[in-house]
Amino acid sequence: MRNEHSSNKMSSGLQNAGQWLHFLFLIIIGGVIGLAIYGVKTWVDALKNPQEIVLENSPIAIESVRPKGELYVSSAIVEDYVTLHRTEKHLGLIPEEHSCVQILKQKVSFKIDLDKIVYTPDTLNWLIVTLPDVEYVASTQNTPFMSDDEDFWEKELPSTNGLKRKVEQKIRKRYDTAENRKRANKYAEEAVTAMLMQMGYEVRFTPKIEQSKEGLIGQ
Amino acid sequence: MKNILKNLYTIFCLAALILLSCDNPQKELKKKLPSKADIVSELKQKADIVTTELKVRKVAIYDSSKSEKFTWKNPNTWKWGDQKCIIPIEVTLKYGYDLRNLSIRNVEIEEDSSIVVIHLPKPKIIDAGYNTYIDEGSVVKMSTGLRSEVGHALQEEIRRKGYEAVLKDELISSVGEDVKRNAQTLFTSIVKAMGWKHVVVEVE
Repeated sequence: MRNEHSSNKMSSGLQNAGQWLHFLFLIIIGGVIGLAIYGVKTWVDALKNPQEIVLENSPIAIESVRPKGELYVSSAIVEDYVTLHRTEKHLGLIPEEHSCVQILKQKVSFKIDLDKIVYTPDTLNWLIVTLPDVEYVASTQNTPFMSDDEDFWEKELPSTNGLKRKVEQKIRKRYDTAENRKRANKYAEEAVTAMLMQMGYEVRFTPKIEQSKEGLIGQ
Repeated sequence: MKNILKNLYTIFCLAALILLSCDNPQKELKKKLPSKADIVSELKQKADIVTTELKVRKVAIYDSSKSEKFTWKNPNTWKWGDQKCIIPIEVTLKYGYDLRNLSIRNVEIEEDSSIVVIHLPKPKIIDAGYNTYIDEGSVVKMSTGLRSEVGHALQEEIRRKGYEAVLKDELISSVGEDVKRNAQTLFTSIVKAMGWKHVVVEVE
């Protein structure tokens, strides 16, 4: 009796061990299949995206060479972005979310036109200088576009110019402010003063009229 | 039969679990965005005079069949088909001088005639950039085999490479004389506006 009971116990123990081994085997098989699917997906994605772009040699054509007279008084390199989201419906039922990002890298500067500076001799070594208003200028240096699905966005968004315009406006809103213009004017006065002092002049600037919320006041 | 179905179901669930946890394109996208430090950058003081603006046109040509070579060792090169793209880029370069490196000497010769001598260093690129917006009508793109269409990301990368190629080219050797001449004209007119009769502009 005791022998029967212990052999029953042993066989049920062996059965449990067998089930665990069975389960472990299933986990391993499932893992291998999952990794294989992931490997194929990665390879298919790699088909879509080139590793390194090398351009063909092509000539550079100089279109124009123009004289300029500008004084750049301040600048900064800025990067900003906008995002766009869309939902794609597979078979009209199954939704899939898509996102894309348009980044813009620009060099934003304030400059003055040197042709518009007016010099009025005052006394022997004094010059009264009237500076024009500073101008905001932005030069684009990179425009990367990123998305989760290039094929989808190529069809959904024929042109990225609209997104780029939004980023440009965002950057301009942040930098083309009254405070930055005031600071740029101060830098312009310092640059012109330094140049004229080398020539033996003392410099006085015509004051600018500053607009405030209350009305026009002298600075 | 039941056991077989149960096993298949377990395998399928495990495979799906691994697949879903491995990849998240939205997270990858978020990692590549500019940081706050890049977005909020301070305006730095400058004193650069621009004397010449150069407009340059480059046609960026990309042909994957010439740059991607098949090798058995690298699965990334196992691609069937090619991508080709042609995009024109307009680059604007502004040459000039840093006023802080300028030296101006005041040389008086006679009482009624005085000369200002200005020493200019070598000109450098003060500002550079390319056209932000793409004229879609001027872009030529094609793809064959299993390759996907030439998308926006690839087009922007091609434009960036074209812009870098223009910057690397020593254009100052072609337009150096124009830059020098424009600088002489500009400084002469500025100094004469102050009442000086003679200006000598010397360039390195």
